[in-house]
Amino acid sequence: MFRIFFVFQTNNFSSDIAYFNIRHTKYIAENYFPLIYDEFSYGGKDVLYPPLFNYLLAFFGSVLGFELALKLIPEFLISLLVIIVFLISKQISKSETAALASALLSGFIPLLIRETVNKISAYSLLLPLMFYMFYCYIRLHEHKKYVIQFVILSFLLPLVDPNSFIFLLTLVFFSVILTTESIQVSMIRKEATFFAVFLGLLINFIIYKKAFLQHGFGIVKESIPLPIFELLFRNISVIALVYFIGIVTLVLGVIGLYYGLFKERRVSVLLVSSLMLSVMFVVTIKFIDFPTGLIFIGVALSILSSLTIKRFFTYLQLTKFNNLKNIFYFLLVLLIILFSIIPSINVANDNIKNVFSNDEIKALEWLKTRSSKDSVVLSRFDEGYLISSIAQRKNVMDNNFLLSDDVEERFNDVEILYTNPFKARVLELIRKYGINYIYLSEKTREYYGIKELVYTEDKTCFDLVYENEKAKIYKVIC
Amino acid sequence: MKMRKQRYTRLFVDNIVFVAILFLSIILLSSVHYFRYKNGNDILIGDYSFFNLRISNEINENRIIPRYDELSYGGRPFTYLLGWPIMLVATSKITGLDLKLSSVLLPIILGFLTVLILGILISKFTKDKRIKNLVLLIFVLSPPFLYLFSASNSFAAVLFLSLIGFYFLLKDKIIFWALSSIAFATISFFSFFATIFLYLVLLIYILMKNRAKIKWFIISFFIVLAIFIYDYYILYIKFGLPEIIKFKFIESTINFGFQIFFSELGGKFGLSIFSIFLSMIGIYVLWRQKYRYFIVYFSILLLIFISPYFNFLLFYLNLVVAILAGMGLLNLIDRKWESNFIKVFSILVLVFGLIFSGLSFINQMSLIEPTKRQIDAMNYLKTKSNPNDVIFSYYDKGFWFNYIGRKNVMDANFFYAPLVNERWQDSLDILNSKDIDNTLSLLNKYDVDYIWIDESVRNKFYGKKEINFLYQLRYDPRFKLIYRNLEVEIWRYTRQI
Repeated sequence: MFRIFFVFQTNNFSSDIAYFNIRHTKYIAENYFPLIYDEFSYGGKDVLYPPLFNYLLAFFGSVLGFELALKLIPEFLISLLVIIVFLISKQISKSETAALASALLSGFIPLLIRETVNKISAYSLLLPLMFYMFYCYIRLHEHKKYVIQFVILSFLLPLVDPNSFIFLLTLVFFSVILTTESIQVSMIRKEATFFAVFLGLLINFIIYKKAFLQHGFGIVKESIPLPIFELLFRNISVIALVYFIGIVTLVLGVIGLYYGLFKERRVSVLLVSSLMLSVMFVVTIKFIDFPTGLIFIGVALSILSSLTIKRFFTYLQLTKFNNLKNIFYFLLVLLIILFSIIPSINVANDNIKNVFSNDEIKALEWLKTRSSKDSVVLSRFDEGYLISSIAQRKNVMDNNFLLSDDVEERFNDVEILYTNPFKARVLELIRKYGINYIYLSEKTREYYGIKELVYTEDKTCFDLVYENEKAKIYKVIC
Repeated sequence: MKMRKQRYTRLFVDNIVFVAILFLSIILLSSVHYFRYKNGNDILIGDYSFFNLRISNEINENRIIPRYDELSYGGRPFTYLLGWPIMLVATSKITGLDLKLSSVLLPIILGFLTVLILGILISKFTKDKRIKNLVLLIFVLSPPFLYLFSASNSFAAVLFLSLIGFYFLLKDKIIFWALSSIAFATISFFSFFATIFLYLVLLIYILMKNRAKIKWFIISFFIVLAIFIYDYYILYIKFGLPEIIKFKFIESTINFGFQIFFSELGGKFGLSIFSIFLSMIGIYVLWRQKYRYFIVYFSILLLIFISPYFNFLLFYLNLVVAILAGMGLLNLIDRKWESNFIKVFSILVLVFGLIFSGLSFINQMSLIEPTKRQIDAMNYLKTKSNPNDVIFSYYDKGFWFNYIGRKNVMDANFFYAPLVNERWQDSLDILNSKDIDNTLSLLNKYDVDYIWIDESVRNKFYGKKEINFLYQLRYDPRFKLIYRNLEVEIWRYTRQI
């Protein structure tokens, strides 16, 4: 309900990856197969991505209508994470109350809200699926149904997002940690780990075959080019980190981690800590960016917070303050409201405020009708999908870095194109990429700290063909 | 009569899987050429195929072994090992096919025979048919097998001769030992380094397992030594010592370093990751008997460390990996799993992974050089140029230029190549040149008439940029673009404007 309240405040979406998913979902709905060659991305290149999320959206889109499905389904899917966190927390803490509190925390991790509300993100499917697999993994030895579910979901997980690799890494780290701690790993868990790892490897080799052949293990480096990785790190501070995870989640989670690892030595806590370890590892090798890694850590901490809460209330029962239990419950909920829910509301509001405006969409739709089909449009890299999805024209750069050899060079060139005042240098780059139009949005102006493109004062070379409050489009005429 | 018939029927039924795998090997190897043909690419694969075809053509036409090669390095002594070209000529004579088709057929026949011999050898060591069938299946699906017996190259014969030599060696009669000696000695006509490696492994095997054959080994070794001394002494007398290669030559694939071991990561004929994993399980199974299989562990380590420098050793490593992988897979099938459900799916995943590696490699092979566009460019160059013209490009194209009857500046036959170090350095200097005067003086030094720039040269030296030598080609009037398609550019170099 919380998410739906926000997403239906606008018809548009808050990230360009949403438009990537819209385009690919509609393509699948029309053609039944994923788009493997994108004529618009980087002027034309192969596209490698796991298509399950798009297939799911395509299915619901054909049933409910695309407008409704694209708004509703991702939010519905990510909401399932709350139930899954409840199940895992209950399994770990054996306390329904603590599990409920954990579930509440997981539903309001500000960073998760920021990355998923109104963004049609594959994380909406990846996170619930992954954490449900963790749940099945914890309960493998209890009932055969968990084994069957685990096996079936192992086929599906790698088809959702390449970050499903984190799940495989977690299982490997988990096995290694148990071995080094001289804790017996049950046969069923060993078998499940073995199966999931090899199946994940196989599916990823099939999907990313071209990228592996081209880059080998260097594919890890190609996931996020260095300038963009540094960009994502630029505005990170400790306070921001605490705010985006939620201080209650952070504190309770860390305490829960301590107790679970060192005092109670629970195997399920080792699994969750293996997840955190694998996330830190993939962030270190720049396979994923830090904010994305924090999402996983945030959910993991919310699960672990159930241990702290349970321990606290168990301890309380032994003290004189046991009759004040309800007050403590109330205090806990208040803290969650203050430090998780309210920041989540703020973040959700920001997402809606920062949505791509109708003016920007109109500008791109104008471009679609008024430019030739093989035109190349310059935009910032994180607007590239808007160019290919809405304007249906070739972009210079977008967020799909795999199989693009010159990403860093393009990133730097795009920056020069927007900030360099000298026409000669700009024209050289325009010719290099065959740019026909320059899309200048308000967001781009803010991003680069510019008011206008200085070189566009030369009317013999640059013609302002479209303008509204949020966007301008220049045509290159020389 | 009825019992004899029953015995033969039983023999057939017992070996039906083996027979099926033999046919599968032929189908897989043929499919490489079929898909290349379907994609419009030449049926010959790589660069050595063209070298072998040219030499076998010369032998076939002239009926003698030439003494001087006018085309390679602009002219050099004929110091090549001729085992493979002679085999091609013999195959052509026997089958009546032309040499090009023989270049396709001969590796496939050898592949079939290799699988047959390997199956017989495994049967000697174990009665368990499942191991034999699994090993052979993994072997025929492996990228190194598919590469080795699709591309016309001498190592196809080397591996076959190694196995048949070993088969004869295991027999008890002296006549078979003699045949074994002949097989191993014949390898020296195909590869010097393979012979050295094989005798090293044989020595270790005989010392550890079969000391009774030490006399045989010494005799056989001295026969090969005599062949080497005779061959190389003549070369030494005529030409002196060969130049020592000073440049770092490790065959580069798309992904350098340890990734050459893995076909999934771009290794030219690397192993499948799934077979490597299964072989680790196989090693684990053997490890229970520790030092009894010391030779296996030693061979693997030796092969792993030396393979990056002598790529042909990957073919031997593949053999060892296939055997261990078969053992590993059988261990997984036979052992008790806690969940039968996971067991079935895990084994299916691994088998599918092996099949995927093989099929994916066949797809890659159907697309590798030379492509149709490169062949078209070569044909154009042949029509436009004269027999004495020199064509310059990166050394790995040299054999192609010789194949169309033109001279190259450098190719991959470094042994006794004239001024090989200087040519290597000069080639790199040209390709990386920023100074037009330097470029011109080097091109004049080698009397270059044409320059070949294709996608692989661009990717190696320039990426997507028009820099260095490419820039000079584009803007200096002494270079004229005479041919271009989506992959290849051919430039005519005129000394005077």
